[in-house]
Amino acid sequence: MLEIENLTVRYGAFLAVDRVSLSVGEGIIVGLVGPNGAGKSSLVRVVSGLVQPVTGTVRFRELPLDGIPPHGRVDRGIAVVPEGRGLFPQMSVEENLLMGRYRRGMGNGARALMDHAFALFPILQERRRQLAGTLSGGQQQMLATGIMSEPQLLILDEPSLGLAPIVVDEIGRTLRRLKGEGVTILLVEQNAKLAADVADEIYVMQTGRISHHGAASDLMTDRSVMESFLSVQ
Amino acid sequence: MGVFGVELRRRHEACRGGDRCGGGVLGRPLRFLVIDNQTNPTQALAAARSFDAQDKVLVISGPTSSDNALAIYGYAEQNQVPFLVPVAAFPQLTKPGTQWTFRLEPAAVGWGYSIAKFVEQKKPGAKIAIMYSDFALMRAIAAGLKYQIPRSNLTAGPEIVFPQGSSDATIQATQVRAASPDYVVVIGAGAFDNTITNQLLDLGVKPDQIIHPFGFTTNILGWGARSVGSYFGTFFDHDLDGVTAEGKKFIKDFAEKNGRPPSYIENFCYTTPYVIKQAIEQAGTVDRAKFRDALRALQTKETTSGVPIAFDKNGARQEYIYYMQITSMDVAKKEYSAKQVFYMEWSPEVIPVYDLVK
Amino acid sequence: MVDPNLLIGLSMLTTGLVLGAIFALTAAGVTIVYGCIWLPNAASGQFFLLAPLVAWSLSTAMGWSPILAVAAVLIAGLPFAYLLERLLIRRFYDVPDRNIAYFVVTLGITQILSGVFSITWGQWSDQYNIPPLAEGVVFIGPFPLPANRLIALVGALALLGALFVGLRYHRFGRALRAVFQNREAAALRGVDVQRIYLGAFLLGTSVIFAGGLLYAMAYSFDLSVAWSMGITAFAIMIVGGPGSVLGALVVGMLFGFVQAAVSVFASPTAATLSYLLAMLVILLLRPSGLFAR
Repeated sequence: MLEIENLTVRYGAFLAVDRVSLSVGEGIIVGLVGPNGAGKSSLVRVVSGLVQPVTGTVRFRELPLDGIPPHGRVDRGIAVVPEGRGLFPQMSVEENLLMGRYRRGMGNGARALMDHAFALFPILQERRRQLAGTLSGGQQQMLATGIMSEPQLLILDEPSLGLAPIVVDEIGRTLRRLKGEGVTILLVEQNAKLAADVADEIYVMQTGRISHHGAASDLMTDRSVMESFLSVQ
Repeated sequence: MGVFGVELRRRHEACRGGDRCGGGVLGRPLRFLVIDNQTNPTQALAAARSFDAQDKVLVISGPTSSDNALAIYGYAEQNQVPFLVPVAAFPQLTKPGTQWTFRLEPAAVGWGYSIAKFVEQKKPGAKIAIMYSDFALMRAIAAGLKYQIPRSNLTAGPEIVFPQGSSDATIQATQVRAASPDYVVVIGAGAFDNTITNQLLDLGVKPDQIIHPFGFTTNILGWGARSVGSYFGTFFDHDLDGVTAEGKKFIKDFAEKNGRPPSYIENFCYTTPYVIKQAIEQAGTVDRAKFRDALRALQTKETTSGVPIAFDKNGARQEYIYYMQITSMDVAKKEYSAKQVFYMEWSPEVIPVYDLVK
Repeated sequence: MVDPNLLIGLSMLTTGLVLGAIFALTAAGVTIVYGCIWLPNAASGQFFLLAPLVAWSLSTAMGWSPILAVAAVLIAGLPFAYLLERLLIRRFYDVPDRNIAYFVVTLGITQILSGVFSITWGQWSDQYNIPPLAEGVVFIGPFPLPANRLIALVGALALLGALFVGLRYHRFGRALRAVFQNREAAALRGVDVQRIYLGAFLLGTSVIFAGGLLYAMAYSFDLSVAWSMGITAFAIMIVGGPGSVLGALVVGMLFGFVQAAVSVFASPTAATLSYLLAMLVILLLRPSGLFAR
C-alpha cells in the first residue's frame, strides 16, 4: 500500500534519512522502531508531505506522492498523527474531532464517526466541550487517533510518549481494533515493546538507516537485534 | 500637527503672487527664491542657512507654521537676518528682546483674550465652557481666554482638554451641556474639531452658542451646514465689511483658481511681499539692518482690507481680530457666507502674552 | 429638566460601545493576520485610513450615495488585498523569522501610503466627512444619539457578531483557528495552509477596512487617525494575546469602555493614560496577553 524507495532527507548538512526503503502492506500493522534521532520522524514528515526528500520516492497505492501537498495526501486516505499528537489545545474535544473531518465534510456520516470515536473512548464524550489542552496525556492520545478522516493508512508517530504503561496497553488494544476494522497502520515508536505487541512486521531504524527488517515475532526473538536496539534505549 | 495641512501648500502659491510686486522696488525687480521645506523644521533651518549664506537674501519669509518658524528664529536672530513670518501664532517668536523677527499674524494668546472681550460685549457675565485639543496652538488660545475671563467679569464653565489622537467627545459634550454654559469655545485639532462641534449640536447646544477662535475655509466647511449661526474669529474673510477693491480681486482670483474663497492664511501670504516692498522703499537701500529698522517703523495698511499694519518693539504685530457669524453654507459648492459681528484692535502686551505661554 | 447624570451615563454607554466596537473590529483584523500568517502589519493604521478616504472621494467628489460608496470600498478592498497577497505577502511564507521581514516590509508600505496620502488626499482637504447615511437623532431614553452613529454602531456590532460566529462555527473559521494554534497539525488534517493564509489576509484586511469605514461614519477624520488607530490596534492585540480573536474582541470593547468611563470620572487625558497603564500592568502580570490564540 505504501512503498518508500531509496529515501534520503537532509536538513542542511545533517543527513537525517539515508537511502531508506520500506513498504507497508495493506491491512497490517507495521512497526518502525528505533532510538531517538534515528530519522523516524523525518520519514513520517516526508510521507505526510511536510518535508521534501532529497532523493527517493514515496508511492501510495502505486501512485507517486511527489509534489502532492499534505492536504492532497489526506484526500488520498493517509492520516498522520504527528509526534506530540498534533492537537489544537484551545479547541474543544468535539472541535478537534471535527478538524479531523476537514476534508471530508460534515455530511458523509461524520456524526456516526464521532459516535464511533466516543464509543471507543467514552471519556471523550464526557469531556467533549472541554478544551483539548486541558486533557491528560492519555486522553489527548485518544483524541489524536486520526480516525475521523476515515483513513486507509494511519501513521502514528510516538503515540506512547510520556504515557503510563497502562495507557500504553490501551493504545495497543485500540490499534488492533482499528486493524480489525480494515485500517492499515504504520506505527513509529521508540517503545519496542508496544511495537512488538501489535505489529505484524517491524523495521528497525538507526542513524538514518534501516538496520533490520522482519516479522515482529522473529525480530523480537533475534538476540542481536534486541541488543543493538535495547542498548541505546 | 496637520491643522493647517492643506492651507500650507496654497499659502506658498498665494505668497508667490509675484505680479503685484512686478514693478520692482528701487528700480530693481524683487526676486523671490523659493525652497520647499516640506514643513520639516530641520529642512526649514537648512533652507534658511542656504538663503542667508549662499543667496545673500535681504529677508527670509515663510515658513507658515510655528514649528518651522521657531527652527529658523534662532538662526535669524543670531546671524542678523531679517525674518518676516506670515503665519505662525506661537507667541515666543516675538518674545521680548527679539531683534530680527517680525510676525504678521497676531499671537494665539491674544485670540483667546479677544474671545472674552467679544463675549463681554455680547452678553455681560456670560458663562463660557472651553473644549480644546492638547496642542501648543490650542493651549495658547485657551490660556489667553482663561486669563481674561475673570477680568472681563465672565463666568468660567467646564474646561475640557482632549489629548492628541482623541476621536470622541460625546461624554464631554454631555458634561458641558449639563453645565448649561452660555457659550462653548471649541478649539479642536483637525477633524476632531468637527467631531466636537457636531456632537455639541447633536446634544442640543445651539449653533449660536458655539465660538471657534479661528476659521479658515476648509475647517468652516468641515463644521457643516448645521453650524450656520456659529461664530468664528478671523483676520480676513471674503465677507468682511471692509474688503477693498484690491481685496475683492484677490478673492475672485483665488476662488477661480482654487474653487473656494481664500482665508486669513492666504491673505497674510498675499500681504507679505507688499510689506517687504514697503519696507525696502522706506529703507531706501537693501541693507539688512536698515531694512529691519524700516520694518520696525512701518505704518501701513493691508491692501485687501485696510487693517493697519505696525509692529511693536519685539516685532509682534499690533493685534486685531474679527468675529464673524456664519449665515449660510453650501458644503458641496465649497461656499459659505458670514457677517462681521465684532472687530477689535489691541496692543500685544495688554495681556502677559509671553508669561502665559512659554 | 432631565437628570444630567442619566444623560452622562447614557453618553458613556454609547461612546464605550461605538469606540469599543471599532477598536475590537480593527484589532481583530490585525490579530487575524498576525495570528495566522505571523504578519505584524505595521501598515494596518494606513489601511484603516485608506478605506474611508476612498469612500470620502466617491461620496463627495463623485457624488455617490454614501451607502454605495461604503459598499464599493468594501468590495474593492478584496481585489486590493488579493493582489497584495499574491505580489508581496506570499513571497515570505517560507522565510524563517518572517515576522521581522513582514514588519519591515509593512513599515515600508506605511511610508509609501502616508506619502501617497499627503500628496493626494492631503492636498484636497485636511479633514474629511462622509455624508451621513441618515439625518436626525434617535432618542435612547432622554439621550439624543445621531441616527448615523447608531447605524455605525449597529453595523459594528453586527460585524463583530458575524466574525465571532464565523470563526467559531464555520469550517473556514475553524480551520483559521487551527492554523493559529498548530499549523503543522492543521496541514496534517488536510487544511491547505497557504489558502488559509490568503483567506486570513483577505478577511483581516477587510475587517480593518470595515473598521475604518465605520469610524468615518461615526466621526470626522483626518490623516492623523492612521497613526493613533494603528497604535491602539496593536496595543489591543498585544494585551488580548497576539493571535487571539477573542482577546481582541474582549480587550477592544474593554478599551472603549475604559476610555469612556475614565473620561467621565477623570478626564480624556487620564483616559488615554489609563489604558496605556492598564496595558503595562496586564503585560507585567501576563506577558503573553490575556487570552491564548
